[in-house]
Amino acid sequence: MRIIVDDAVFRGDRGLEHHADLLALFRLGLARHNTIEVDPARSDLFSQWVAREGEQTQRLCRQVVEQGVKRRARQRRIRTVRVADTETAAWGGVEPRLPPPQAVRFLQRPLALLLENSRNDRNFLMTITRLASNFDLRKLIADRVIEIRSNGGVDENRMCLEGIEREESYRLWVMCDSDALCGWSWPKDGSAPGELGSTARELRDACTGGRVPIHVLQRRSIDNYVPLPLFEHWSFQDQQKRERIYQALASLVEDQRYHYNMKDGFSKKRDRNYASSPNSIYEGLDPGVREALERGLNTRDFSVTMLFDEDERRAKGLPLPERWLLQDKQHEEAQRIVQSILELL
Amino acid sequence: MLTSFTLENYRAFVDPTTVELRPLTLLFGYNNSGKSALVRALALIAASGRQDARMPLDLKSEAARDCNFDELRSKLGGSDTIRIGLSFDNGDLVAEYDIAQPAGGLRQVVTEMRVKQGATSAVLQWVPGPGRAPSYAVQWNGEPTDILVEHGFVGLMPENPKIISGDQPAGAKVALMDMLGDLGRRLATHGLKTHWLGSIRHYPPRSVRYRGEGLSPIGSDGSGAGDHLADDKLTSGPLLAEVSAWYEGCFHRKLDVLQSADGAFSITIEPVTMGAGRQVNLADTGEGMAQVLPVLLAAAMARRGERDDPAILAIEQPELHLHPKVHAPLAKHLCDLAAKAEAPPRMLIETHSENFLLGVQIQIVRGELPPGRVLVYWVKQLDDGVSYVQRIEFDDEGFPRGFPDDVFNEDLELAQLLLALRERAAG
Repeated sequence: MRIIVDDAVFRGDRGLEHHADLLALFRLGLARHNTIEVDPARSDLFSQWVAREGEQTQRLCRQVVEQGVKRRARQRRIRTVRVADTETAAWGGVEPRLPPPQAVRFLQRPLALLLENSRNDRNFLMTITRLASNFDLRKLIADRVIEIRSNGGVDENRMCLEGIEREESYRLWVMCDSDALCGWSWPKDGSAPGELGSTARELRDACTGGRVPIHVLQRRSIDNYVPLPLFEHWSFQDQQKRERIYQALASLVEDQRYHYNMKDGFSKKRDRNYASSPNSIYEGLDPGVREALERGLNTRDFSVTMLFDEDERRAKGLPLPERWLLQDKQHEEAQRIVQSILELL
Repeated sequence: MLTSFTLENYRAFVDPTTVELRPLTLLFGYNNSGKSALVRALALIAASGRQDARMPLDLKSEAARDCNFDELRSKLGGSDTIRIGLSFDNGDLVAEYDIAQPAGGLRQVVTEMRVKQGATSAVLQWVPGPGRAPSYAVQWNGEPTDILVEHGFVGLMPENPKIISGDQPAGAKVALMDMLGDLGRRLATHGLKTHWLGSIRHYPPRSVRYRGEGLSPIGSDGSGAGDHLADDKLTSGPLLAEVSAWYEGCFHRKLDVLQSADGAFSITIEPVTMGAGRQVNLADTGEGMAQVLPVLLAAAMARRGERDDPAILAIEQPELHLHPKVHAPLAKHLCDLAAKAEAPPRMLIETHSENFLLGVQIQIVRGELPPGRVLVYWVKQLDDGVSYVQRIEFDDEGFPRGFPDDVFNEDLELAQLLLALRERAAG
């Protein structure tokens, strides 16, 4: 979050009155990813205010401002809040204007990552973001810079986004499956080969309306990000003899594997209809492969997404080195996910 | 011109790793991540495109640093071959080589070569045999043929290819010969047009005895720069003036080449404002002043763009020994070159400098460097020793989108630690 502090809050009695909140603001700038700047940059009021502080506090404030300059040089922040000498918050306009106490309360709130499923999607995010340098989602959650939130499903998430307050939207980032049957792209030129599933589309529209950043997965769902070597380890150790389905999965080309319904295979109507249509990505698929993939991988006691759970993997002795994610070409999307989160911090 | 190269099973780059060469391509990353390996791979490929190359990957060249094939090949991937891919003129011609050194042998063998030009493609698969020159079975546009072609390699260039049997499909023989010939020409041009400057550069000689004879390329340690400047002085060329302009802008010092009575040339630095007679030999100045000279000279030659001038610069740590204050002006200098309207060179630059990056961002925001002309790769090594690159584009506001968070904040982290320790000590 980019925080611009009007220097009027440092003026004389106001500076004394806001003293504790202003110090809290600077400490938030030190401990979190917020960047803090004083407007104007060479403010006499700020200099006078800070000169009254002890040496440690003076250094803290100057360091936070300096750190903010460096961070802003390299990292775009798409959210700005102005801390102003005002009694009430004004969330309208280009920059919301908040009085110091409210600004502190607001900035203490973690950024919420709104996910369809707070367990599986969280584990997926933990996994894929390992590919981004210097981004430790586990630590950010532990430090309460980020929190994982879910309302119980995509529809519930969409409803919560409809009519969302701006204050709420400022601390929110959304991710969802694309549910696309084949490769898709944002409909810029109308020539996209695939299209988003209807729930993903509605959620995206709700986010667009509420001005909340959303990352729609490039592949069909998080299941499609389980790297093949992990499937291989899992299928060959499993009692249920899943080698056949692994071999079938491994024989698919990328577009097929990235959009195959891992849970239910071709057994549901939407997939069955698409897979049997003449222009589908499965056209010409070997009948043996098609048969092996008919029912998908999920069973009553197993879900593909369990493979993202570190504890589950540990219990089963399944490794998941970063290199497998890399070989599965997940690094570019990981980079985009992390970048869009960092822009909000 | 070579516009990208791909490595696989090379050093720590086990998986296919492509480096696009923009007018300015920057490599950032922590120590031992693989940045230098990428710069030197480009230098090695260039050396392997020269007429004097002795094997497909010319391990006798400086860039190989006396390594053998097994030291170049990754031990992490389990493959015996190194794969090198070259793309010329944005994919107009693409060549891929699988190179191996069969057990017990001392010779490298190109076990497979794939060449693609437009819609036409050929795959040449090595057919082991007793002949001196290797034979290759040809696939043409994805289909097997009866054509067998024989040729050796001078570096990566197919040498005197000739068809030894087969003639179907019609027209394939002639087209294949044309394609291999074109590849050879482009490699030769690329080899001569690439200039590599390593990170260990020699101090400048006190004087050089240049007599106007043929000039050698500048060495990877910067040697030979004096000869080029002497030649430029004698011929009133543009190099000395351009190089000096940078020193004048940054240090208020003018660079000159003086000839003594015995005919030797020395490179001198003198204050701009003090007039003649205050010259100091470059060998007696601060190290940064001398170390940056070959960088500036190589850039000036690339700008001049004459027949023997480099079109590709591969530079390790251009800011070597320079104070951080002048890193941004150095970046600006190279950005100006990258922004050249016609035929800008391609520069692959390895650096650790935050100020260099800021200098590039400033040029973008000023509108002096189109963001599409520059690219960053963050080079990362995983815990198992495998390296890979993260591609980072700049947007119109000069933000490197995807640059790792908190890189270059180490000074602030150390300052925070210092403050915390002081607070603790004060109770």
